[in-house]
Amino acid sequence: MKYVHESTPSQHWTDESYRLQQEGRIRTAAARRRTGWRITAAGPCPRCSGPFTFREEAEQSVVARLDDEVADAEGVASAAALGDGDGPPSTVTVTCDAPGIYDGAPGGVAGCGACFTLYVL
Amino acid sequence: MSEPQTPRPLPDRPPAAPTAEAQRRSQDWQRLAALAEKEVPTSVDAWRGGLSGLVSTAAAGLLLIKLPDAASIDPAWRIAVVAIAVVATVAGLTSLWTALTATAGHPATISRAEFERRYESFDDFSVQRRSGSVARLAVARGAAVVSVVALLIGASLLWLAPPKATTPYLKVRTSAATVCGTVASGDHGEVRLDVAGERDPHVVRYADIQNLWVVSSC
Repeated sequence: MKYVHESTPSQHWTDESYRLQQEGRIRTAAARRRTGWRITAAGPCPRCSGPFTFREEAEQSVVARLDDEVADAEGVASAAALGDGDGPPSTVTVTCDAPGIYDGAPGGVAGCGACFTLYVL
Repeated sequence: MSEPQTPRPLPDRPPAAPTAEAQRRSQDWQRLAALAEKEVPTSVDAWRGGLSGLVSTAAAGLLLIKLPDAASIDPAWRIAVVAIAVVATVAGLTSLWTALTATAGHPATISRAEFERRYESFDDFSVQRRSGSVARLAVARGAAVVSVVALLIGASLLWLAPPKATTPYLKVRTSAATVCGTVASGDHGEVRLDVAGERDPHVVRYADIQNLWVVSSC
């Protein structure tokens, strides 16, 4: 299958992923951790049907100097929008990372390039 | 530990497709996660080795400051040598620390919201981090030069410094006693010795002296 990066994701793949969620073939989960919500999702990609997996942490450890700035009100507001508040986010943006060989895929990129929105249930 | 969320019902309508911006942000956050998975363990290892080097350097600096050679030189010169040794040690530690942060980085935790607030994109994050490393390496190089120059100056001062002036003492033995002290005078056929703890000098006539020695302490 050919790799296709959509500069703006189409509604079509989101509608397809919604159908797969209705059928119970795509599953999402949210778990509260000390550092915030962890969102996971797995199932067949609506475009290539390959098994994608998705995991997003609210926080992660990186190698960078971060102590030169302090969080401001804007940062706190954004954090709430991303689910650091009472509940997890209602949706997540997922990009297919199904294993396989896709023609024209950039080096080091897995999946067919489909990008879609999933409800976090 | 994680606490699962109670499942919510699936809404009646599909969600809206991601915007191009949401797609980019999500993919940047995923790229950051992939990078962190590789880099953080390496950075932790580098810090472990680097910190032991820092401790060794600090210990060596403390030993340098307590050099026995420094105790035998003139006090004014000794102050200068110790001050330069402190500068050399602090500059050496600064150099090591900044070089370590330039190579091993700073493992830190960042939220997605903060990441998006600080950086325009994953590429922006990489560029900022690189320029930060280059700046820290410049500081490390400067501090290393200061440390080496200070060490050379300190070592040179140790060689050139005049020895500490010591007060000579005279020990005089007569048939009656042996007296040790500093010479107050030696004219009129007698020697006057100031003895520690005594108000008046001891007066010893030359004719009574059986033996005498110049000593460094009584």
